[in-house]
Formats: sequence, structure tokens, C-alpha cells
Amino acid sequence: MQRRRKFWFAIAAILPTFLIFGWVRMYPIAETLRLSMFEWNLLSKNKLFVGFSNFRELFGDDQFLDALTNTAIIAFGAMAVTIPASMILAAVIYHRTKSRFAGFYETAVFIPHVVSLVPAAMAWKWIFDAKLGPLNAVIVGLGGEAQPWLFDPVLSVVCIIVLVSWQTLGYGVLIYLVGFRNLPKSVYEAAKLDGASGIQSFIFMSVPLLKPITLYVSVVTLISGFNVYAQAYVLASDTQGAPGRLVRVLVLDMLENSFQNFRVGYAAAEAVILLTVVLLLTIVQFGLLRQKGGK
Amino acid sequence: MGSAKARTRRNNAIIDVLLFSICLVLLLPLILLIANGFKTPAEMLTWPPSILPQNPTLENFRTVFTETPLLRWIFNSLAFAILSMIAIVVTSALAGYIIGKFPFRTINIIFILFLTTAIIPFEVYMIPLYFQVKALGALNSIGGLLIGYLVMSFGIFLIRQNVIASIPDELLEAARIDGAGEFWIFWHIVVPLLKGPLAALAVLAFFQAWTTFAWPIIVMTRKTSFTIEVGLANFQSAYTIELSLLSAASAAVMVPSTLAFILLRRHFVEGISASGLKE
Amino acid sequence: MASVEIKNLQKSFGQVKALHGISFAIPDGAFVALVGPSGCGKSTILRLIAGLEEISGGEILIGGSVINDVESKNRDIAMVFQNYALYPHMTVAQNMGFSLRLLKKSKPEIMKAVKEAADILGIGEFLDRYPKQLSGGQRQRVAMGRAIVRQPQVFLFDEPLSNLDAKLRVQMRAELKALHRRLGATTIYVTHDQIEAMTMADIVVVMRDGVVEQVGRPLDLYDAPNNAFVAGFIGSPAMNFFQVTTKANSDEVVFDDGQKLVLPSYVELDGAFKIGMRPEHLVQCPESSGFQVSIVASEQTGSETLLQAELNNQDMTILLRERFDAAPGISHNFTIDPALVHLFDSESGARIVI
Repeated sequence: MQRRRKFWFAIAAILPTFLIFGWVRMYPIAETLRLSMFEWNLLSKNKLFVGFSNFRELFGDDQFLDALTNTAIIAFGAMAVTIPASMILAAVIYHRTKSRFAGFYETAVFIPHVVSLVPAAMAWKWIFDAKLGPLNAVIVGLGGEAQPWLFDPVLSVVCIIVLVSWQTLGYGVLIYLVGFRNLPKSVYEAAKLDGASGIQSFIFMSVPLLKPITLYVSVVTLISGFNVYAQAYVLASDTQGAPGRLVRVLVLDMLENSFQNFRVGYAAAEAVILLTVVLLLTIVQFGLLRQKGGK
Repeated sequence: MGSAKARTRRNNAIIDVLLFSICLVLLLPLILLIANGFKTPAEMLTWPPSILPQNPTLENFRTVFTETPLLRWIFNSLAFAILSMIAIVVTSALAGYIIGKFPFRTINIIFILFLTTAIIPFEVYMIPLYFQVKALGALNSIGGLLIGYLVMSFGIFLIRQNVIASIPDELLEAARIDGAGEFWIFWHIVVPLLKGPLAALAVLAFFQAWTTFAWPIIVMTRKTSFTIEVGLANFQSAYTIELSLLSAASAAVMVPSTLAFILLRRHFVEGISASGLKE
Repeated sequence: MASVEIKNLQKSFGQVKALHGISFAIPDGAFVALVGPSGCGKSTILRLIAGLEEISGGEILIGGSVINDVESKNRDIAMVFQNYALYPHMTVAQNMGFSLRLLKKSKPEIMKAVKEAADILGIGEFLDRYPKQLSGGQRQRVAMGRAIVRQPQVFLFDEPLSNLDAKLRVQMRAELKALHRRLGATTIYVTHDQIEAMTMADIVVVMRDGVVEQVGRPLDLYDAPNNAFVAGFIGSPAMNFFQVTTKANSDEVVFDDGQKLVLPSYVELDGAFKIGMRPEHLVQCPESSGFQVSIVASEQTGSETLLQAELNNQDMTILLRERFDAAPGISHNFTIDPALVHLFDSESGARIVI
């Protein structure tokens, strides 16, 4: 009797959330999967089933391949910068936990992560500006040669990696700090007595002990890297000023295919590929974690 | 060789200086952006660029507030972020509590459904979602924008974890024996005990909506309905020459939200750290 | 091997003084136990010797030289932690060989040292396992193995047995003692358990609130405690204390309720004192002699009888070697050999030696 009453309360209480969830998450996800098999031009009522031909076409589409490559380079590049940098920075900040500046360090490192994307990207855009930007000013001042940072396809990818890393760094530091705080103190004391210097403790203790955190931060950084959009949109305008054209990224290509080329099914196929990448990354993460736990 | 104490103190001083410099470098782009907001258009064109404004002026701020819909955009973003925050906190609190404390099979199945969709990025399904909003005729409205940000999988997990960790079954049973109704228990016992995580979730949800970009850029296409992020991004393609105006607008938006973050930092950190501990 | 000397050692954590000028010396090869209630500063001393905390004042000497400014790794010490502090990501062999690896010893050399230590401790078969695959007792041995491998001059143990169950604790106690005999290295052992201290140590240092109360051989502490604190801390069950008064030229001490006990040797004392009587020293006597207590409860274990009793509304315990059937609420008379009675100053707690 009481069990039944509890059951109906539970159902009633979770139902609104569940319905919203179904409506704004599960349905559009299913719709993405379905549309990826159709050809639909947005205007007509008819959707034509085309099987996997969207996917086949994608892998011969230079623009898409360009976008996929750029996105992957940005995602892995940002991860390669963020992981070591945030781990070392977190180690040093953790070391100075007792310092009266500890709060300042944590906040300062984290601010880039919470600042809105667009204003932050604006700031960097000026720094990278070829004609008026301070970066070139410094380079020229040091006797170097000014670089067309945002007008060169390779350099602009580098710039986007810098911007993305700058934003993710604070997140990485925060998670690593949690990791450091959860590590057993006595292990470090034992290592110290065994003769390990601070740097040796970091290499032989922290790095292996924080492996689960490293995996987690890597995957989070990679997944958010694969969804990069605003950064490229602001930084990499082409010569006519059209946003985001110089460095095509997946999300941009997807939105263009959908809303400018009116090929919704084709865009959905791109979304499915993005989804596949994310799922693969997650599976790899769990696989590596389990491998470690199974020893 | 100095004493061990002196050596440690010296090393720590070096580390502090180093950390200070790193923090400064990390904040430099934002400092420069704010500084640019106070420069005259002419000064923006000087070479080499100045770091601090030579003749600080408030003209840029006056212009962006009076001649552009900046205030309107800020209002749109605020309204959207606050409504999204409320929706996410309410749905997460209810669902997280039910999933954590009512282990029926139906509920577990629902939980698994939530779980499996959690890792799928918004960008994957935002195009079909756009057509749902369009079908409702809700494009260019806060309501339409909100549809994308009504629920948050992570929020549900966060609350579920906290419910399991900090609300003992005995407490609920005692209330039931005393004759309390289920909703009364949720409102008077569960919610007060979850104040910390709910606050953390609220802050996270607010900032998530405040900084989102891809969704509003496709849903809000009319100039008056832009959110601040979209507005600024379009600002840059439209007024590309007036870098000082752009900087002023960006700074006007960034400074208050950064201050809000510093004030709410503890909640924010709590929420974000919980995401890392999950694994 | 080396002697350890501690001179006027002080330690403050911020405003809080943890150690108020501690001094004692440990001869080469001795097994010393630092014992006291939690928060007395015993672990702090160990951590200062290990170099895990900075010394606020005073000196520590190992083998005759001051090591205040010497880094931990150069102090030639090894420590076994309360929670073992094994490196969770390393195998037993890697755990034990880590210090040698840092010293850039060759692989075969490390393997040999690890094998030797493992054989001493009987953990040879676990060398390829990870700490989480081991039982508590095995982890304990690995932690000791890690210390042995370094062949240090001084071993430091920080409550190493407190995470083990009672039976294993007794067994490890014997093993540790045997190990000390075999290696002969100076050993400093921190514990809150006075039985561990009494059974294992050559010298016991009793501490309270950052001060040394007494240093001595275990039985000396039992027979001749410096003060009421040591008397109460050493021995189990703990000593019974009562307020008494004496008059000069009288051979009696008087309890608060008027009962008397004849103590011929204290005839010259005059005033209020604290009397201490160990539970195992009390014996039954006829109603005409001794003092009367009322029984609250009795616990029979077969070999002995533990009585909870009251004297003048104050709790006391009595440990008898014989069976004794006492119903609660009934009064019985007990007495004590005057030679076994301790008298303490009622203000300072210092023992009054006649």
C-alpha cells in the first residue's frame, strides 16, 4: 500500500522532467540519427530516404574533410597544451596552498574559463592582429618578423589552439587541484623519506596517481575541442570579414550545410560523425580506466 | 648554506613570483581588452600599440550603450540565463531526488536513459531541435531559446549523488511514519538539506546559459533578440573598424560577469569539482 | 646505527605550542617507545626527527651530529607510517626498491636488497602484487620491508599496529621485537597503547601536552612513576586514585568518608594527598581490617576477576587473581600492602618518595 503510494509519487514527480528530457534531448537525438539517412532541403515537405549516401558523400567532401582535420588538430593540440600545463600549474598551486595568495592564483587561473567566449576571443583577436596587435609589436621589438597570425591558415589554427587552451587551462587546474587534495599526504612523505625531491615526487607519484584525472580531463578537453565554434567564428574571419571561414570547423560546416546550403540530412550526417567521435573518445577513456583497475 | 627554513622560504618566494607572473599573463588579454575600451579610435591605430590608454575616454561606452542595442542584448541574456537556471534547478532537484531515493525499476530505466544521453554534446542534436522550436513559432524568442536549456544531465547526477551521500533513508522513513506527505518531505526536508549542491548547480547553470553561443546564434536571428554573445560576435563583423567600441562593449559585459563569478566562486568550484570526482 | 639525542626540542603550529622543550637521549641500538594520549606531541617528535616538519627550536642529533638542517633523505632514517603509505601504483618489489632506485642503484642490486628484506619478513611470494591486493598484516610487512631495504641508522614507527586487529597486533608485536633484535638498529616507536610500549621497548618516554613526564625502563615506570599522570597511564586496568589526609605522628591516612588505612612509613606526613592503588594490588581481607567498598559489578574471566566498586561514591577497579563471587550492592573489605601504595602531592601530582 505504502509502496504503491511511493511509486506513484515517484512517477508523478519525475514525469515532467522525463517528458521535457524526451522532448528536448531524446527526440532530437533520434531525429539527428534519422535525418542523417535522408535528403531534405528544408523547404520541401518531402524527405527522401537515401541510406548511407550522405556519409559516403561526406568522405569525398573536401570542405568537410578540411573541417574534420582542423577540428581534430585543434582538439588534440589544445589537449596537448592543456594537460601538462594544468597539471604542473595545479601541482605548484597545491604546493603553495598555505600561501595567502592561494585564492588569488586559483581565481586568476580560472577566470579565463568563465569569461564569455566572444569577449575573450575579441581580446585575443586584437593581440594576434597582424597590423596593430601587441604580439607582433613584441616580436618586431625583439628583432623578429611580424606574422600574419590570423590570415595564414596554419597560423590561425595555432591561434585558435592558444585561445582554446587558455580557456580550458583553468578547468584542468581546478580538476587537478581536487585530485591533488584527494591524494594521500603520507605517500608523499614516504617518498620524501625515500629520498625523492619535489620534482621526483611529481614524476614518480603525482603523474601515475593522477592518471584517472588525466584521462578524465583529456576526454573532456577533447570533446569540447571537437565542438569548437565560437573561437573559430570570431578569430578566423576570412579576408572579406565573413566569420569563421578561414579555419573551417565541424560545427561551422554543419550549420552552413544546414542553413545556407539547405542540406539538413547532410548536416545531420555530420552531426552523427561528431557523435561517433565523442562516443569513441568516451569508450577509449573507460577502456583505459578499466585496464588500469584490472591489474 | 642557510638554514632549512630560510631555504624553503626563498624557494617559496621564487614560486610565488613565478605564479604571480603566470596569473598576470593569463589575465593580460582581459586587462588589455578593458584598457582598449578606454582608448580613442585614433589611439587604437597607433604603432606600436599602447598598453594603457594615453587619453582615457568614456566616449566608447557612451556610444555602445546609446547607439547599439547592447542593453537589450544584456537583458535577453540575463532573462534567458535566469529562466534556464530556474528550470534546471527545479528539474534536477526533483529528478535527482527521485532517482536517488526511489529505486523502482521504472525509475532506474529512466535513469539509464538520462545517463546514455548525458555525454552527447548539444551540437549533435541542435539542428533537429531548431526545427522543433521553429514548428512552435518560437524562433527569436526567449522561450524558444530556453527550450534548448531546460534540463541538464549533469545536474541530475549531481543532485542524485548528493541525495545518496547526505540524506539517510531513516530520515525520510521517520517523516513518513510521522504522517508527512511525499511532497511535504521533498520540500521541507530534502530541499533544505541540498542547499549547497543546489546553489552550486544554479551557478553552473546560469553561467552555462550566459556563455552559450552556437544555440542562440541559430535561434536568435533578429538583431533585437540577440543574446549578448551573439550580439558581440555580429558587432565585430558589422563594425569591424571600430575596435575601441568593440572592446568597450566586450568589457562592459565581461567585467560584471567576472565579478559575479569571483563572488560566487566557491559554489562554482564546488559544482565543477563534483564533475571531476564522478569518474 | 647511531644514538639519537633530543635537546630542548620545541615546535609550534602557528600560535599553538605542540612541544615545550623536550629533551631525552636514546643510546645506540635501543628500542624506545614514545607513549602518551593523543595530542601529546609524540608523533610530532617523530615527524621532526624524520624531517617532515620544521623544528621551531632546540636540536636533534643523530650519531652525534646536529641534523636540524639536514634534508630528510640524508638523515639516514626510515619511517613506517600508521596507514603504511605504500605507493598504490607500484608493486611490492617496486615499493621496497623505490629508495634504491632514486639512489641510482643497478637493477640486480636493488632486486637483491629487496629479496633479502622480503625473506626476513616472509613476503617473498607477494613481490609482484599491488598493495590493494594484500591484507592489512601483509601491507604492514611491506611497509617495514621498505624501511629495512634502506638499512637506515634509525627506524621510526608511527603507530604501526593501530590499523590491525587485536590478534594480529599481538603477533606483529613479537615479530617487530624479533626484527629489532636481528637488525640491532636504533628504533623509535610511537604509540598511544601503553601495553605496546611496555612489551616492546627498552626505554619508554611518557609524554603529555608537549612535555616529557618520565623516561625510564618499562618496569621502573610501573614501580616508581614520577607522578600521578604516569602512574595512571602505565598499567592496565589503570591505577585508582583517592583524596586522603594524614596527620603528623600518625601512621594512618584517612579517606574522605572517614575510613582509614595504616601506612607505617608515612608517619611524618601532614596534610592532603592523593593516594594511588593499582587494581591488581588490592586483596580481600576480613571485615575487621582494611577499608570497605561496595561492589557495583563483577566480571569473571576464569583466570581473574575484575570488580567495579565504589569507595565513598568514587569509582574504583579491583583485579583479583582468584574467583570471587560478589553480588552487586554488597560491601566487602579490601586492603593493600603498604609498600605498594603510592602517595602523590595533591597539587602537583608529583610522587612523594619516602
